[in-house]
Amino acid sequence: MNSVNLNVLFRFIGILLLQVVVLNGFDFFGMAQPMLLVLFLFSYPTESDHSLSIFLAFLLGLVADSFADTLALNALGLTAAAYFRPQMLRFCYGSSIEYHSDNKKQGSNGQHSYFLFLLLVIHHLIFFVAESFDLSRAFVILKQLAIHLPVSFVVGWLLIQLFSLHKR
Amino acid sequence: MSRLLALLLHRRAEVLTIILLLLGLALTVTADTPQRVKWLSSSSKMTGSVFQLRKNISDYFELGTLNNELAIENQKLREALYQAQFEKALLGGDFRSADTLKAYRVIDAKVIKNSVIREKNLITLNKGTVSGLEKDMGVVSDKGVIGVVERSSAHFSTVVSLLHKELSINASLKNTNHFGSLIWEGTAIDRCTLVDLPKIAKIEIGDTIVTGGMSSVFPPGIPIGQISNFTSPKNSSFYKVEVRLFNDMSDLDQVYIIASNLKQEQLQLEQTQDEFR
Repeated sequence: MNSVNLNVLFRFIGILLLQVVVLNGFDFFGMAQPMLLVLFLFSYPTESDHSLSIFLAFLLGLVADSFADTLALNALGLTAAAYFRPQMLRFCYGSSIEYHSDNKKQGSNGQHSYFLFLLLVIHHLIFFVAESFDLSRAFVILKQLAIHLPVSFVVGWLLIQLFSLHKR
Repeated sequence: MSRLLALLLHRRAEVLTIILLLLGLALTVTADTPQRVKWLSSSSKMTGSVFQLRKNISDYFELGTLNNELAIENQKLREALYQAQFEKALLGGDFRSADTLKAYRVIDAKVIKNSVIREKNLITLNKGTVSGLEKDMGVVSDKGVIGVVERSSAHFSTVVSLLHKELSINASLKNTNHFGSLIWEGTAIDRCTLVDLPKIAKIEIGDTIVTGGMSSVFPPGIPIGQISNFTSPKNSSFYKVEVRLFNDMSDLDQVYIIASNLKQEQLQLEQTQDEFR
């Protein structure tokens, strides 16, 4: 197992434990919980296989769901976010990102925060739509998004800075 | 065939995404059914053990507070026990006789996982079938009702919280026989709604709501909350009552599971009555 794969494995376990053991215990104002499994996709190597990232994202979501009794909601959100990740990378860091992975490491704070925000939007949107499973409850879904997204973004951004995830 | 295979390989990311999304959707749709994937829930052995470990660590730092709470709770329980024994003996005219019919068994447990932000919130307890827990047992804390046991593994159980949009509990006005159904509409974590309470009942803001005696899950009279608001819809014979819960559902620790020793007998009798309808 080369060092890149080992790194991915450690990040998979680390982010899973962070969400399950630490973040799932937080309730900001009794309403919002940071959902930051997308940090795995944020820090996933740009040059690695896209299909593998989709599969690992699904697996990460499924394991996290089994801890939170949110069966397959995180798995769905992460799979969708993993699928659109290359497009989001190109959108945030420029179209040459696939050939120059350093573009991401040298990206500005604005680019990093934009990338994190897009990943969170896709994950949270799919999560809450699948949870309600009823588009007539669009208002409730939007309300949930408005409550959870800012909390996830702020905590996610702090963690990225703390662990320098944007430089990996 | 080879061209199709080549196309699938070329589009493997899309194919994999579609397969995984369908699998995820299938799991989500069956999440509330009895066929639910048992090992993918928080009452499974693996996830339960992780929560137990986390709980053990956090408990260590909260022992002092917990001891104080338990001491106060013990004091209240003893007072209630002595009072009940006294009243029973007084009614029977014999102060020496003790009641041998024990209708309810109480099992203590700890909350090792809780959630309040979903529409279908579940709680995980650190006791399971080995300790005598079974499906449809009532769960209470020292302040009032928490929920109903949904599923038990050997050492862990999942509880449907009061904050679950599909749970309905028989509830009544304290000291009356007027009853209704307590449901959660998902608006606030400290508020539930009492529906189907007939307008003939005289209610006021501040009145206490307790469990009714119409179900085999909870004994009657367990506190639930206080009326914080109510409306009286024109074209209905029933009130719609907002109930402020006594329990802080986001801060649960020690809970008690109520097992009814007479439940089987009650259910059998009700089933027999159904046959004559």
